Amino acid sequence: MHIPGLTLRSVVAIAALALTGSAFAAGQDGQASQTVSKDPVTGKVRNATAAEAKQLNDLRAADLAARKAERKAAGLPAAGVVRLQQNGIAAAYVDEELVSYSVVRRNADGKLEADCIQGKSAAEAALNNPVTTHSEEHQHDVQ
Amino acid sequence: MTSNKRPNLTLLAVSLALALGAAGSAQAAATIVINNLNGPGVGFNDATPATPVGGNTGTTLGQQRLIAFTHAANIWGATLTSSVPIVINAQFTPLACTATSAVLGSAGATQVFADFPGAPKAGTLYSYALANKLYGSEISDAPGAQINARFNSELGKAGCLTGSSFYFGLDGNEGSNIDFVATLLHEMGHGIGFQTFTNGSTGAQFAGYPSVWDHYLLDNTTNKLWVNMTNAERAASSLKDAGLSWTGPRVTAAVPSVLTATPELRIVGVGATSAAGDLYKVGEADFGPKLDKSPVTGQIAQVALQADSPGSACTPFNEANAAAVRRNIALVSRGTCGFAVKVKNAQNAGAIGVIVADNAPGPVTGMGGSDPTITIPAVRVTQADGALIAASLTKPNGNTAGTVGKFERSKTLISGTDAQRRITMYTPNPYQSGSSVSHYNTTASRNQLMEPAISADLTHTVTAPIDLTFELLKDIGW
Repeated sequence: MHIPGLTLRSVVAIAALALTGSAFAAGQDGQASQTVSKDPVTGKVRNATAAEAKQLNDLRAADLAARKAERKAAGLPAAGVVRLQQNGIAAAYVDEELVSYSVVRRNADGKLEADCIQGKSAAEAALNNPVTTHSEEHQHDVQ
Repeated sequence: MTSNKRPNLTLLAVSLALALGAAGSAQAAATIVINNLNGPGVGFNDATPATPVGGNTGTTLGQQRLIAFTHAANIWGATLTSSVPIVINAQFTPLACTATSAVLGSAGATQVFADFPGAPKAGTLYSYALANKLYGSEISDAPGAQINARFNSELGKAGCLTGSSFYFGLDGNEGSNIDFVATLLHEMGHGIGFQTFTNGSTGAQFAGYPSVWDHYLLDNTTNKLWVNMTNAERAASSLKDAGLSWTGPRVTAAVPSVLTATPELRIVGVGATSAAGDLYKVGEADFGPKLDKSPVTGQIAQVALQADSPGSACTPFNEANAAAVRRNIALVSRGTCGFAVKVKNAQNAGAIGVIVADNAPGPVTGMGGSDPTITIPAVRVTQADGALIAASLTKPNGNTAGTVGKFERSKTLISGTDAQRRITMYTPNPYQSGSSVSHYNTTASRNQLMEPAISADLTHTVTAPIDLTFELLKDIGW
């Protein structure tokens, strides 16, 4: 089963917790999942506390449930779940979190900056919070 | 062909692309079917009058959207080969936006498949369109479009990136607007297979299977492929700058013809610690001439902070600084004023090149800004390297001892690649949800269609020797 990536809500929660490490915790399907976070102060990682891991898992569970509910409401089959076709071929539907989005922002200097971002929630989060710090010419600091 | 066309939907465009390459090359052909999901009067059917632009002959907004969409589809259709049509459910619809930002659009595969006859690798996920090609016929027992694509119908209106809209011309002259064709080419690239379905943040595989990508993603620090890693190892490798290489043979073979050699600064003379010279990583400038195969060589002179200047090289050089840098390479510090200002002041004083040393720790990056009157090259070095170079000089306003700098292109290293000349993927730290891994590294030069940022200088080409997108698709089975 797919373990969803962090949503905006998750990211915000982690920032508030000042998570400084890798959180190894059980995913929704019982499989081990990992989230790597970076200490905004030291840049180093550490294991999450039990409380932090639980909060992260709760957020993931809520996010997964919301996405499942959205697909169900739209009459779409569940995503990320393998079904075995009659011809023996394994198949799975892909949901919005694996779709690629183009997002554009107008910077303070008036120039447009476009990025490709995977996942609806990450794309919508990026509208107000630039997520990229590309190290190439069209993204460089000017001073 | 099995069409997933919904009732009351109209199939507005069928793009049959057929192209013959140069003599000896294979014929490529894939049919792209654009399934217009828009209702009357909206999206592709918007009757708002429009003036033909950039080769797009449409006279309504809807026509122009469809013509541009078809143009992009034709580019892919002329490149890919498949006996199974690729159906794209397409629509223009309101998407999230603010006055200064907007979701332009999206595209992605609708299903993935594994363990089918014709699959090059067992137990591995392939996106729908590629699975159809490899299988040779419709693979799904629940057939539908292979790709869903949605684009923002409100772009440019009040409250939705106000004043900036899609450019539907076919010639790439988007000016201050957004090149729709380039944007669509990029997103379609993901839809036909330019992505891993494995989560780079958690390392978890999608639906419990590795993606075909995972057989080619190599952590070049541990020499392990993603397919052989644990979740923790995959997540860790997603954070290693330039540490995740693409090992596919098609891409690797094409790299030398597509990407430029890495720019570098070689320090020679008494300031160098070896006879061959000391090499420094550099970032290039957006402005001024690019480095070419002919090195720019000159003695290095450090520019002293002037009393009349708020920062290094931020005002016209005084007599001492001008005398030091004339016909030499000026070493200045970052900060206070723009990079272009510093370089222009050095140029006006007679310098033949400029080294900008960073004023804060961090990896080397390039320099933004613009000034069409700048005619000398400039490079940026890290704060630590700038200190080393400065320490090798003997005078703050001159360099009579002879520390010489050469701006050159590497004879062995290629931009955006690892030491084995394999292109690296975009792996910033911290992880950037959605951008990390499934794009080429932004250090690649020339800019590539499948970098996370859609560059203004992109052409509408997806093949070598311009672009490496199709080479990667060939690696995974296209």
